[in-house]
Amino acid sequence: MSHLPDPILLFVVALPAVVALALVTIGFVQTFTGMTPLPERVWRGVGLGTGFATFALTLVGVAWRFDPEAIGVQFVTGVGGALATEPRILLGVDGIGLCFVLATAGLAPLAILASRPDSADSVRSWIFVVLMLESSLLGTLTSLNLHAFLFFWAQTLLPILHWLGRWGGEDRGRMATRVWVTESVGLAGLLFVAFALAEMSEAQLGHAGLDLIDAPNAAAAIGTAIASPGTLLDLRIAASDQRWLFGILVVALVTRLPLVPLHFWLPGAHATSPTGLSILLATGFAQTAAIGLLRFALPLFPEAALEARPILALVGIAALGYASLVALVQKELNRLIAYTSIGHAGFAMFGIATMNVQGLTGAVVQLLTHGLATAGIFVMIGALALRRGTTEVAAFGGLARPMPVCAAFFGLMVFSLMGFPLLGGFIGDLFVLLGSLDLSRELSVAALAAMGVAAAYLLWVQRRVFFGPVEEPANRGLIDLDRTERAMLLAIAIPILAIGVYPNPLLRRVEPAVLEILHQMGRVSLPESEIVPVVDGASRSAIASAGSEEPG
Amino acid sequence: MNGFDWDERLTASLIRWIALLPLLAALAHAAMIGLLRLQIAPRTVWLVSSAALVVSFLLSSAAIFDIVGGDSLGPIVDRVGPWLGGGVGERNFSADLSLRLDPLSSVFCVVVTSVALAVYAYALGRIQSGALPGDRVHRLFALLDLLVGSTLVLLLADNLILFFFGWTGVGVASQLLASFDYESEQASRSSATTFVVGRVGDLALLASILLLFDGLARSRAPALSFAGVEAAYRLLAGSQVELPLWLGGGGFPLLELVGGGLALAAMTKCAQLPLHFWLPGASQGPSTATALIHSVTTVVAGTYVLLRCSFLLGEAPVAMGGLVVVGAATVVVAGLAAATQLDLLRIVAYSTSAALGFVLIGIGLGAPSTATFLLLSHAYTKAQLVLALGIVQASQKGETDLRRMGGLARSMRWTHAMAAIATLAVIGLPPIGTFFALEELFAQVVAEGHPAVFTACIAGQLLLAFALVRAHLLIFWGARPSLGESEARVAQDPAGMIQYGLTTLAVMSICVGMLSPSQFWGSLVGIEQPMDTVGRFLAGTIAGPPDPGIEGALRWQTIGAVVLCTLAGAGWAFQRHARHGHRGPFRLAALEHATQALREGLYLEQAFDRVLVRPLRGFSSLLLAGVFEARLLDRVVVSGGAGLARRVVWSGLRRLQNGRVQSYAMLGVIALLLSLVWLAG
Repeated sequence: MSHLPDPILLFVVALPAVVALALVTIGFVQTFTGMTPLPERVWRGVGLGTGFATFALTLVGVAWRFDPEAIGVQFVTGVGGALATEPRILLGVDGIGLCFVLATAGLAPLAILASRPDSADSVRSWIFVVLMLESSLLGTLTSLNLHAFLFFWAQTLLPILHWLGRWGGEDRGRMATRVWVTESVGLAGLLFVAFALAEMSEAQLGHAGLDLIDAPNAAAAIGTAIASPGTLLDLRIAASDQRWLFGILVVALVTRLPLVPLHFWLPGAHATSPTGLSILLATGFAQTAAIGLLRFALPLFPEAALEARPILALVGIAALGYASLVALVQKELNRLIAYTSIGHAGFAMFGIATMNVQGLTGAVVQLLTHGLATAGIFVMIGALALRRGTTEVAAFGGLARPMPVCAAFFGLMVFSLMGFPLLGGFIGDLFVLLGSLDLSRELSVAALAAMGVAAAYLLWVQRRVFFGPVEEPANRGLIDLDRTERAMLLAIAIPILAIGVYPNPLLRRVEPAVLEILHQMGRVSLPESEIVPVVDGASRSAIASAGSEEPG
Repeated sequence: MNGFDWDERLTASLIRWIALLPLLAALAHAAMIGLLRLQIAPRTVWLVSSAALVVSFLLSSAAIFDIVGGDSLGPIVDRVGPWLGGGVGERNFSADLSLRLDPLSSVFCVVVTSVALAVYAYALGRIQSGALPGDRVHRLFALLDLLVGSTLVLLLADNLILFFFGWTGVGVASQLLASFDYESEQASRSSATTFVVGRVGDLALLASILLLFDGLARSRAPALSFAGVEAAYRLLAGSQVELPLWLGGGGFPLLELVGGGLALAAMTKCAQLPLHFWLPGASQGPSTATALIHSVTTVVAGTYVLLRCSFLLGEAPVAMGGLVVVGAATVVVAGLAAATQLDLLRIVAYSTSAALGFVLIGIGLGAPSTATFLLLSHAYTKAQLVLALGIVQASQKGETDLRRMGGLARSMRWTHAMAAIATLAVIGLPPIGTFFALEELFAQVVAEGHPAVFTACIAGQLLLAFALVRAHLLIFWGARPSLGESEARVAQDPAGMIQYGLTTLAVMSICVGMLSPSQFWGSLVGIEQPMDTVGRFLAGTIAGPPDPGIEGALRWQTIGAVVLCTLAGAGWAFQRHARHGHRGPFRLAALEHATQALREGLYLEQAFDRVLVRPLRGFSSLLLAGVFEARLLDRVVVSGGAGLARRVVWSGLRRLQNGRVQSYAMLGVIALLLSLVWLAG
């Protein structure tokens, strides 16, 4: 295993995959020995147990011990080569990774819970797929070198295609193909950038290691420190090369975010996919793209990134406005929420494009809270589909009478998406806007206007589904959310409320990570001693002494 | 004063509970309704909410003595702790969770909690009479608590972000109260209107806050607390914002933009032209909620934002001028609309718009303390009027059409008296109700304003007096309309808590004006030393002079004008309606059309719908969703690309696709091995 002292992340990432592989092995054994298969409840229980265990491990092992004062990644661990010059998988989390990992690990068991009716057949295979997906998402979110990132990024794809293509709804084959085509384009771009960087590293540093950080190696562990062989961040890349590589990398990554105009796969995928997959698509899957942008694209190509700021910001705002307008005329709930995601992805891109502390912090918080609120809404859409067999907006109306709890939770999630204070969505919006003022006041005003339109369509759907008279007789006797559904929604609502009411704990953890990214880009100057990766979890000095941001 | 230090600190840490208690009550109710589905008795619900409110009221009353007892009327700040922050250096954006009690906020806290208490007492009466079923009571009090609690947060906020939290809380509560009868299509629509207009205000306020912070950050003095902004805003006096080319380019003073945003935000919450159309719809909810929205919560929120930032508005003359123009236009148009309405609730709504128009004129003329005085007088009087008319509405089984009322004075004597006091207090018949405040305002207009503004004020006051007296006469005087036997309604006076609550309010609304004789009035009755008036009490907290600038003969003439136009309006209403009741439509078609347009608020809501909403929807559904999404992306890019890919690749992969997870796992393992080989190589 790892030679590094704290392999907790390895356990977190590997736990679902190990259980999943065990399930496959059991399947082989069953097939060959002809044993009677165990009841499906068992497999569901195993899946749920693994999901909760992973979340507990993340909570206790990572989040609890995470040092919010430290700048830099923590819990660095790896598999494979012991030296930085050798290929290996290197994992670690900073504040950003921590948020996303917690969200994914927490929502994965909910995704299993939410998919009760979707997977009547072959629960064991389905659990295998879910756990593999969780494992690869967690791996992508914690990757510290391009090897790991590519490996997990590609590994994410198979379970998703499988889940969508086998347990999806109508038209699942076409939608799976669509996802696959889009993702292949992204993967090809990523591979291209990785090969180019490997070549540059070979030429400049003398080795093809693709690490982002200067992790201590085996030699250091036994006391003979050797000079750092250099990391990707030490590369000097010509401005023209940066432009090309940055462009390709960004296009490859934003297929997943997804940013307009590469969003075309998402509405169809959401309309087809089972509730559980929708939840993970809106959270972990989109967040891997953000991690790629923040951890790789910005620090590796800082000059090109700074040059691209206006374009990215414009595209982000245009995406927000465009998606909001298209959402205004959607007639099906899943598609409508998909366009919400697309719009918010644009807003997050806008935050990232500011490339200052507040904008990046806002983008991270925004992705996190948007993922949570969307997940909650998908749970409710799933519940409605289960009860009524349709998700057309026109089929509903006046549901607040038969389903008051559902109406209350829906209101909460929608208000969070609209960015109302006391709910998490506002904090992200506020910080993105704050950051954008530094970039361009005109664009901030445009973003505000687009937020207004975004509020309009969410209000419309809330009003159309839950208010007004109950006209369809089928809606009159609907049963409200049961205990499991309530518990799931409460589990999602609590972090949304907590972030909205008292955001400081979250901001305190995200900001050091953002500062480090900006430092790597050369936009913020930090004392050199503070950016050593924290391997032993020891507390580093506070960020209070962080230098001032250079005017952009 | 050293010995009292611990005492003061104790009080300071109690301030948070003024705002927190109603919010906690709201939270408790919300959890019971939305999550646990607990059904508790309506009286218990009332008890929880009222207990929170009573404590909140006692605390704010005690706090006002703390302020008065202090040496310099200085603020007391209750700092709960760090709250949110981000950014480094001069862009450091950090806000504490702290509440600030100063003369301005303490006065408003007492007013809000006292009016709310009276309204709650009234609500208990409604519960006792069995008019409200249990689940509706619970929901009503959850929303009322949210409304009052958010207002208190807004009043006590020490920084702009906390202020914004309170502001949106008020907006959300107003919207939810507008859709209280969510099952009716009408309520659902008016809730949407309330929401959209409120959202415009939210975004305008947020834009102002952000622009202000950004400007201060660029001047290397980032601040979010009101004290910090007040200390630093002068740095922005010369700073300009470059306008984009399509707006003509050039520079525009930053503080004007900020002031304009604040003014726009205030206009939305105060239901000013052209964003006034949400208030009639939002008044369809329960009368307790309407009373609060019209008196001490929503409209106070709109005005308070300007009062809090009054120091800043001095640097934004264009925004101030805009306020005066908007206020004057609203006074006239809303007065006309109120004078022609046939619906009880719409008259109330338009009269509120007009009254708030006066308040905004006062602020726009640089006399915030006069405006505050007027707002306070308005709060008590309007709350009383709405509740008195609420009794009428309840006795008529929800009927609000004036044409189907009349002659109620005979069966509802007490209600008639209450409504009469409320009407006279609202129109400012000397010496009760809003009279003193209106007189001060008119004096300010004479001293500072344009003659046209004065004319508008005179016309508005006349129309307002006419409209409210007309409504009163149509309801209580005249003959009972000949309704069918089945529609005959038993109207009788309420008893118990409704009477207590309303009587308290009546006493307050009679006395509110007299509490604050200005310097001028003091000298009239032989008091040489100026009394501690509202204006003087607030002088340290808000900008502008505490008293109007004119005295002597001109002041007497102004008073004469106010009294004259009030009496003229009331007399006109008497002449027209005292005996005849409703006169039916005008004979002249053009006049009837004009009246209809006024009743509908100049069709502005419909105009927004036609000009803005429908084209936008059409554009999205035709061009964006229809052409771009469905045709271009779906057919050309995706299907074309996918078809190509399928032909090339899928045929090869098909052999592997057998639906068995083992083979996929095998594929995964192979892929994993391959990638490891690549990594190692």
